[in-house]
Amino acid sequence: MTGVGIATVIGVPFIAALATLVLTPRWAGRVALLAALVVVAAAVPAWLALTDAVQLIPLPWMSSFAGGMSFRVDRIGLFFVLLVGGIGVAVVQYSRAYVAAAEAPGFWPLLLVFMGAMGGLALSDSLLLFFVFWELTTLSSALLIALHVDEREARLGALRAFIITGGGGLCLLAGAALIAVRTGTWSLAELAARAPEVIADPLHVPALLLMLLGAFAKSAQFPLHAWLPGAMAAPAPVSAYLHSATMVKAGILLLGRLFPIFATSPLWLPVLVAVGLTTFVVGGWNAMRSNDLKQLLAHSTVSNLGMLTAMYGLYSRIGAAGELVGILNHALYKSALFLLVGWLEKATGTRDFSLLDREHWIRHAPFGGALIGVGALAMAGFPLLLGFVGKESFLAGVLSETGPYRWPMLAAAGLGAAFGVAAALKLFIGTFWGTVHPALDRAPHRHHLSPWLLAVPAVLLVPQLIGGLAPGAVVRAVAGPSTGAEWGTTPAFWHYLDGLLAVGLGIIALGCGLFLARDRLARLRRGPSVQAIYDGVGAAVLGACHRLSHAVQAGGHSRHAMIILVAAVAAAAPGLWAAQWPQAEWSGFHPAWLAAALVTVGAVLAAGAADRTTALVLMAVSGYGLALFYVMLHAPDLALTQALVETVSLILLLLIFRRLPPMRAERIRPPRLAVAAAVGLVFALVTWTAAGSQPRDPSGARQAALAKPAGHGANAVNVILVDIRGADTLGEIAVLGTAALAAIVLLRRRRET
Amino acid sequence: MRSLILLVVAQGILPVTTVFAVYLLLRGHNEPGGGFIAGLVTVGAIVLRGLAFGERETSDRLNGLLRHAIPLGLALAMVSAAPAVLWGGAYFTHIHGSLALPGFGPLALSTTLLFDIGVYLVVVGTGSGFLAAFVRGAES
Repeated sequence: MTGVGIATVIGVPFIAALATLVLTPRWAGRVALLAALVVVAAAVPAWLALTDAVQLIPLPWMSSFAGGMSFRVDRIGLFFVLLVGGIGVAVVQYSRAYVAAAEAPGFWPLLLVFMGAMGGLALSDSLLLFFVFWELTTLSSALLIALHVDEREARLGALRAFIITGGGGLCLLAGAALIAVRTGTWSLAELAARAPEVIADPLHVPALLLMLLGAFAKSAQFPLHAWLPGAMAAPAPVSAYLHSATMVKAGILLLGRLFPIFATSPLWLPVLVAVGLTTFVVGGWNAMRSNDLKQLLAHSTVSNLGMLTAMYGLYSRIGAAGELVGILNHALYKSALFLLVGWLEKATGTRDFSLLDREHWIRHAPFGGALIGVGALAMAGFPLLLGFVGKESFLAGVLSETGPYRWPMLAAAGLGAAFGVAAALKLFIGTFWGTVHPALDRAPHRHHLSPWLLAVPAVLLVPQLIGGLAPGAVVRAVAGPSTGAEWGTTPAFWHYLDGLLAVGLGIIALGCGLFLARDRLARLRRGPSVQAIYDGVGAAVLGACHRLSHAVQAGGHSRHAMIILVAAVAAAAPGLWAAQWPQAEWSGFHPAWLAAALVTVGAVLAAGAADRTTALVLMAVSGYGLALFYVMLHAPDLALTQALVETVSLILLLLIFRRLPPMRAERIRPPRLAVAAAVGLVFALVTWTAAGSQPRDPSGARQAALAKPAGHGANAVNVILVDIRGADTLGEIAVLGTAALAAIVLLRRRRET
Repeated sequence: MRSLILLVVAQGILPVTTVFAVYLLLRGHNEPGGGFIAGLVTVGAIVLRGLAFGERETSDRLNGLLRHAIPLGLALAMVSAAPAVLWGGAYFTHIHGSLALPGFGPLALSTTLLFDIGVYLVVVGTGSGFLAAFVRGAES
């Protein structure tokens, strides 16, 4: 894959996202479909030409800072691109028929932004670039959860998802920065090549744990899985695409990127297996006991992500075949099931299991019921489906453990898998085979439903059957021609009569038993859910912030200002101990004394002014005096800026003061005077010592000398601003613009409340 | 507090200062000036006009024009640094060129000017945005 191919995979969805902003929903859907098809078309030739070597494509971008940004093309990356593009095509086609989603404002642009970000994530080699795309997926996911922004559940779910996965992203950045500081590189390929050196550094432990925290938050691992069930407020195609097939697998992708670097770390296997298996069991238990079909699928997704995490822990034993097939298997059947539940909700008017449990829906919807049946069998890992292959690879990995943890691991894996079987049976049998024939009046619009709502999931389920009949071929197609030997050319039923088969049959039997006992299990008391604990912690933190800001800001502006000033003095004063005092001598009269006098007189008179306007004008006198200083120091740009800032703030404040009531005459209080004196003294001293300190690397002169030859400008200040340090200026105007937008929004809110 | 002098001065101040701001912007590369300073000049003029004719009237007049100035400016600044990437250069490698105008001498052109216009737009958008927000906040 060339640079053009990468630009296509990442750029086309973003450009399409811009286009959909101005198109009608109908045309936006068409453009989105085209974009997804282009992504697939760009990735397929590269996939066919794939070799085992990692192909690096460097992009010179601020190379002095992060060693340049680079992209990479390898098996797992391209696999994810194909997954994102392929399921993207299916989900877009489904969404075009799913009115509730397609006509919500923001749906198409956000979906396309997500698609582009996910493609970029899969192809990033620089950890910094990886982080940027990672947070883009977080952002688009949170906004898509809040698509129906007038619903409280949707807003809360979006916030929860954003805080947990966004916080995980920051952990990832911190861990990556730690590694980059220790090794001097952000490149995954280079880090993998220097893996022994990385592992030898004891600081790799906190870095690894931080990055794993990011992966766990994104992939909803226990106890960070609280956000995923809440994300189900999003419409069905969003849940299918982001929250089962692709975005939640970004954490798994990160594990895949970290594996070549940290595989030999003593932490890798125990942490991943412990977290993964715990998640597997907890998610399965919750799935089995859910009464909302979407919640059931969400918890089952959590459980499956736990399995994929544990499989990465055991990766060195089971290899890429198990992992990639596991991802593909789950992405296909789970997105199909989410889409089918979206259809079911439209067809039956409910997602509530306790209602559907009694209604014999198979009679009214045999085809959809059969599709859900196939999906549920894949979810349970029944033979003759790809799901069987996925689950067997996992069990083989667990059984390969020979140490003292063999039996606890096997018990956890068996229990979690049995919960999964019970949840799958509940999804199919419980939903479709009730006793009463339903009246059709609860779902009046059934005949209006588009056939695509069933056709798309049906297509997604086809690979399940192919994988069941010819597992060896599918494994080889996904994980490379050298793998899949153990699956031979026979259907996925059993490949040897051994412990593995016994475990598999035992799991299915236990799952059936759990399903039959479902009414008894449902009566068990529910412990506090992680979601409730998370919400409690969130409320406590917000409450503490509230109390703190009340304590600091009570008593009006003057007290608030006092607290800020005292804090500033306390922060700046200690620095004076280590300061170097400049050598100064008296040199008689200098014109700068006039400017100094102007500054001093303005400040002193302003302190004693009787009304605001007078004080303001006197303070401006002080400011213009400062501008005079800059003129004398031959800094015309600075003088101009200072004078203009002074003018603009003077007029702006005049405008504001015009609306305020007149100032009450107050006598000067001693405590305030003391604080004012302390602030003045400390900052005067700080300024004085700053003049005496010698910078270690005086880069200013070097940059000024570069202005004319490199920047083609005689005004060095401006050349540095727009050219030599242009990235800094871009950052500054971004901060300025963002702050302005935030202030504008805050002022508007104050009016509304 | 309506001053006749203020009204008369403020009447013509926006066009004049805008021309002055453009002058500062263009000459910024070689003499004191530049996008930030030019932006401040325009913001000063806008706020002064608000003081003379009322914030609401000024804000309503400019809102349509400057509503998207911040995102537009940021986008322009970002894009202006990009063209070199197409020729294999690093982001923020600015391109300098010269245009020969008959009877006028060579005119130096570069992508840094676009960048500076972006800075100008962000500063002006911030100032006028504050004025608009202040109008809304004051009405409550």
